[in-house]
Amino acid sequence: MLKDITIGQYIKGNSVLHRLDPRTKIFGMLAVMVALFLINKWTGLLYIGVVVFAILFASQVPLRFYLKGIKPLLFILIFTALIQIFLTPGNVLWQWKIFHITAEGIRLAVFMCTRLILLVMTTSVLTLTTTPIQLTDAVEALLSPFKRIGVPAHELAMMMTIALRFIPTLIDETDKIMKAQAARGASFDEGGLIQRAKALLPILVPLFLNAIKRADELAMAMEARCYHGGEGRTRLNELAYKAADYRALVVVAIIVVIAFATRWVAF
Amino acid sequence: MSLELKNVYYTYNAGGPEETHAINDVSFTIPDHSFVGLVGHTGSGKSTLVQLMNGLLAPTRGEVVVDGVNINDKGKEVRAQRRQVGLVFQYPEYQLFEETIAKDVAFGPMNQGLDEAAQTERVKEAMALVEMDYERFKDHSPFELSGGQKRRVAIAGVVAMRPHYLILDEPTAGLDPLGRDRILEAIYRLYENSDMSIILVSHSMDDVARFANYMVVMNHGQKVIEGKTAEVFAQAELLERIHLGVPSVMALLRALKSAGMDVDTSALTVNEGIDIIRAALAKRKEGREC
Repeated sequence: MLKDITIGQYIKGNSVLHRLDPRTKIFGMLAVMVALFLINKWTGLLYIGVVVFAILFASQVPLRFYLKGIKPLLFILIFTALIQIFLTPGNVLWQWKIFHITAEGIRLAVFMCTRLILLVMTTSVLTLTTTPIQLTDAVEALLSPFKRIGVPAHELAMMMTIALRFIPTLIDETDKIMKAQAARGASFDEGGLIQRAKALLPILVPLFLNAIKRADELAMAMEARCYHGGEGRTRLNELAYKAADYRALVVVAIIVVIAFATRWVAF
Repeated sequence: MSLELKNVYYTYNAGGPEETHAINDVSFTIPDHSFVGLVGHTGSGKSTLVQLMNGLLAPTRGEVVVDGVNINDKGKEVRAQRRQVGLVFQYPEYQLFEETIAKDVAFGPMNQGLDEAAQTERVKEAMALVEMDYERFKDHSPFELSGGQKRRVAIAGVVAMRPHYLILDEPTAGLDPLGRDRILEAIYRLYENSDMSIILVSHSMDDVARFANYMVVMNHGQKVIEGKTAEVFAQAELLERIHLGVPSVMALLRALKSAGMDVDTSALTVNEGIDIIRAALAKRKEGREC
């Protein structure tokens, strides 16, 4: 069950998207997301759908990894669809007591769900083609102009790196502790809400204790290697925009402009 | 009365791209009241095996039978039967969570549905068995203890459930030599003073040779040898071929023999080894004097 959680699910590859500067990819992702919200016609939806799938194809990551990202959203998708179908006023197609389905409702439900799916796929492109380290480097680089107004860019990036690094460790540990307590007869899926919450205590206490201990050790290890924050720190791989990045940014700009233009098509 | 594995298979991520066959057709029988050494390299399937043995994992194929009951069947009695197999994981001190040691040890008995008086009795018994003074430690926090003490309390937490079989997965990992000896000796006394069977998972051949009277050797998810300790170590070549080796005393004697000294290489403990070398030296001296 815990094995299904995938964060930082980078898939190795050497596609155009893999080689792009992570900052370009962050800008690109944001732009495509903006485009997704600019469209309001079926033509626009079709257009952006084609664009997103073209990007997915360019990433050379098998489609099933993208589909896996949608699975956890299934509940939200169904929930959104139901709300739209039943609560949109308009042409009533079907009615039973207080429930009614309208043509507008169905239209909106399809539109919203497609948009959500495309949105998740777009963000997946970023995480599937960019290593967590590249991502945090990009965050640091993008935030560093705001250092002057007191944004701790380096510290935020370092926190992100450390958090990403320890997620798998914590998952493993949770699994181990759960098994150890299960071996002592603890059960986690019985009884009411309060009982279940109580059953988590034997897991959470050791988990937190270990996390704190580990944080302490990590801090010590970092200090022992003379870590003293971001000042004067140089890096092994400097981020640098290349020709491909400029081209990509132009393409992205065109995508957004066309998306905006589709607002004026008839249908 | 025995713990039996019948043609057990276990596959992780079955059907997926990362399918791994951790256990392949493993069968063995653990005789009643025995001290078993379960040995094998990292990745040989030991840890998967112990989880199969107490029902935390269900075998992909095959049966795990504890005292005549297949523990992967359904039903209340089957659940109780699983409790007959106590499992102490690696670094068991990670499972401590209560405010006091007494409460932590009582966690298992409490989950078994015992009343308070019975829980206290179990706690006292378990702490005595792992050689922790109940009166002195009961109200202490488990987090104030030393590493070795924490581990003994964690073992007590499993012993308190009165399992008929007690599995210990590398109980000495990460302890200093003194802590190791004390834990192992405590486990051995536990074995002597009860009718429990102990299954000690280890990769130290010395520890196994010293305490176990029965052995199961694993390699790449398969059982290689099973039998009485002396019989297993008699197959030294095979053990060396799978890079497990033999107890250091035995290794020394084998080296002496190949260097031309006439010694018996079956010794498993240091004392036996000393006697054999002494005898061999005396014999050689006699030979010279003749």
